[in-house]
Amino acid sequence: MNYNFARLKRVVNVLLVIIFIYGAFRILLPDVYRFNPQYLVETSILKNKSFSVSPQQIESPKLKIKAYLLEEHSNPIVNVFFLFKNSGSAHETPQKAGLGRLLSDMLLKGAGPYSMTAFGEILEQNAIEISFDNNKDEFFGILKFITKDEKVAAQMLNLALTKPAFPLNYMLQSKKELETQYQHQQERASSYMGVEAAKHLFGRHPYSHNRYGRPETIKSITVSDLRAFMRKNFARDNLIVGISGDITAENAGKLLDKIFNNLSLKNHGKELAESKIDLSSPDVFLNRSLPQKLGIFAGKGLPMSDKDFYPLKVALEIFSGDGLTSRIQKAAREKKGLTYGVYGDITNYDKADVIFGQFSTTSENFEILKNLIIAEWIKFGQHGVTEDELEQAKNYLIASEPLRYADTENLSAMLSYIQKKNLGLDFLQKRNSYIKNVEIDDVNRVAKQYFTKENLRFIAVGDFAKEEPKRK
Amino acid sequence: MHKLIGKIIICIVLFGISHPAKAALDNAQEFFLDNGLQVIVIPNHKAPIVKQVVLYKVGRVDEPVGKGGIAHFLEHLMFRGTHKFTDGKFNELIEKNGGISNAATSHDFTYYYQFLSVDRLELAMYLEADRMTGLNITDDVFTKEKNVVLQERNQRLSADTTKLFWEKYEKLLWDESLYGEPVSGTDEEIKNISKQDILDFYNKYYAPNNAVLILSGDIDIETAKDLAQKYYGKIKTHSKIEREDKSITNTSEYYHNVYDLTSRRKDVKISRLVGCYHLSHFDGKNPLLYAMIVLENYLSGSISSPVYQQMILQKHLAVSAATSFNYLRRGSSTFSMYAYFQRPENASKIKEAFVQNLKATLKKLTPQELEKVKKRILAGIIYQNDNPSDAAEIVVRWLGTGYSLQDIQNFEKNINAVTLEQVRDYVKTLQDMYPFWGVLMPLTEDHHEL
Repeated sequence: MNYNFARLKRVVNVLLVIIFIYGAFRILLPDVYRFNPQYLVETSILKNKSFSVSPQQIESPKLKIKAYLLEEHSNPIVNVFFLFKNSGSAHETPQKAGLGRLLSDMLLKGAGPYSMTAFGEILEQNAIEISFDNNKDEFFGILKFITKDEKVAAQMLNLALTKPAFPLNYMLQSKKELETQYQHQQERASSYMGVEAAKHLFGRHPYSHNRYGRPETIKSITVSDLRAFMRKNFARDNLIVGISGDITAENAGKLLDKIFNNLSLKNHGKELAESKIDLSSPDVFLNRSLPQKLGIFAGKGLPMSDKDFYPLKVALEIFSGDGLTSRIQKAAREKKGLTYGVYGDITNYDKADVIFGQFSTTSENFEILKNLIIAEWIKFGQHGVTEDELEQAKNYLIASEPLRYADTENLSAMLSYIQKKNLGLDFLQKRNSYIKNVEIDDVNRVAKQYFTKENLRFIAVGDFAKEEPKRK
Repeated sequence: MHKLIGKIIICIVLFGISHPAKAALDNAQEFFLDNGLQVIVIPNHKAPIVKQVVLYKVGRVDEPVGKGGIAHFLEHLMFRGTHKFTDGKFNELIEKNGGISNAATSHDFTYYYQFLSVDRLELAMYLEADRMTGLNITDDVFTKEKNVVLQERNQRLSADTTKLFWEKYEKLLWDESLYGEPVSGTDEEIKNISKQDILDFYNKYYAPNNAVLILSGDIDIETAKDLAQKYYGKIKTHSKIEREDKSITNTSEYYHNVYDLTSRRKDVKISRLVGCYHLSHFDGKNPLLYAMIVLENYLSGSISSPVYQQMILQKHLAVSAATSFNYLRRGSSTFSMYAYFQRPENASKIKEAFVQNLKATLKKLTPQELEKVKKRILAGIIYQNDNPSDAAEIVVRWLGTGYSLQDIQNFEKNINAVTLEQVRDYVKTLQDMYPFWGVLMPLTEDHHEL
């Protein structure tokens, strides 16, 4: 018995020593043996990968066209993005709505000496990609080619911009395609909702126009309408260009002269009036038989040139950023996994700055989610954010920045918009410091101004006709 | 030795120093860890970013009957906590570090990715390795996530109300095969899935020897080797993972006796039609795979292709029409034909025209035309090297469906080797088969909704 007791004591002693050593070890142990994400990042063998981008401004030797260029020689690929200011769908005459979309297709249906088929084959055989499109503010184009094909690529784009053939038989076909796109847009609940939201928010302002037009306006567009649009809008003085990829400044300058040769000097477009967003009219509920309900929430935002733009950007990142950890996502999920997605950000048009958010939910939960968004929105305005939330949002916006350089195509578009919005050649370097400098007081002050009951309106689509089925 | 140096110099002179001849993902390399994990590295140093993908070779078709949706449900739960990290921590850490993170499930595979600054890669590798074995599902999380999965499915269906019709079409097209079932499972099936079902599936299939790690971006092969070993090297191999052979023998005979699937709906504004030939799965080394790719591209890959020229510009049968060949599937492949058209009564003419165009290939496809098609397919292949994120996706789709990295890298060679004879032979094979058609039209006054 005694012997056993002594043995037990010894075992306990040994155990105590082991526990003590283990405890001491835990305290003294280097971080690497405990999980510390910051430590993993700071000690990573990859931590010294640095990155600096320095776009330059170039000017073409002959026509003196200015552009931003970002040289990047790791792949033999070049990308050119260009836009004509004040030529977007909001600038179309309402009776000819859809013209820009039709033009974007017709410009590729043959030009100069080439029939549509011959033109298309030259592009295909050399993997030269030319495309055109528009948004509310501008008509734009993209050219992508392999470095060795520079000459052909420039020539083909120049022909499309200056000597398009607009063959009549393809014009009919092209109109049919556009009408189909319009029908498709009307069929899909989310795009239908977008079009209706623009009507209700922008009212009489041309931002309410549908860029796909309507069947009757599409039918009325003629070849001379297309030519008149080009004369009015395709010019050197409203042209903005961004170039990225495997090309030197000298060659990029020459490329500009080739592409935009014979373009008129002056455009005849006009700036639009400022748009007031209608947030005071009642919410809009569009009836359509759907198993779910989709919604948009909208509010007034800020332009990028405003000193409060970044505080508002950070605030929205915290409230409804695209991750799963935003305020509204967390709140919605905590209510029994209410929704699959709520997301909101600022959209900047030339003459309007809007906060747009989107969400979707089962029909019976729609009211709950909508009320949750309203409650969280107001709470956000009244109580602001925590230091932790601010830190996380800033970290995200800064650390995700390099991802924008994945694609040469994104880069040239970005370079164009930096010029259009006068953000400065050094914007890409400075952007992170703008975010870093956002203080909690700025965010809370801006939140108080913008996250208010008055600055929030809903447009939704779904089965709003029937009475809601009660949940048992 | 000197001779070799001489050859290298000649090569540099011929191809230029800055841009040696490049093909799709030609600098990608692969190696295996001792535990069986396959690793593919695609170096791309233009920006300090990287995409990590872990691909598991398991998907909808591997699920037990009646339990549809396990693979997809599991994919959701993989974000909801492990023994080391509580629910939400995974997303929070990736997001804090500026990463984009997501996952997707298909019939054949499931994959997870993080796209982020390369200095954060080790963190992502730590987390991804952790959830390869450490999944922890609490009852509360399980119930909540089931709701989310059900809602996600409904949301997809409501975003596009024609989806239900296509689900029905797929089901008939694939007959009894699980390839015809929706990846997410149906509402009934999802409700039937238990926590144990998920864990069984996870324990069986989530293992290094059933996975591929892809690192695409600003990383070199040596660093990738060290890091793969450091984070994934210690995970234990599972006993041999048997996947049932899901290959489907030719079922086209069957369609001969089956009516088209036709529906009229009031929410549909424009008529559309799909026809599908059901083909067997092609091995990556099978020259017929590439012959079929060439044939499909000849038919509708271009503005000068017969489908566009004949059906649209000359005969005005449809507003748009195209074909596609989907070979990225483990069990079979499909050759499909699509059209959007304004006049519903054109449906049968369009079907006929597709079949006629296929037949006409025997006479119309000349050797010169064949070379043009090959050049067109290959001209832009170098663009695949541009975006590291897209490059990783290409590897996912090929390796997830039974192909190898060599198949991707040999694509150019294999396309160039296609002969006119091979294409013609394949046309003859298709001629003996029947496509299955689905037609969706607007509801007109003299019809009832079908």
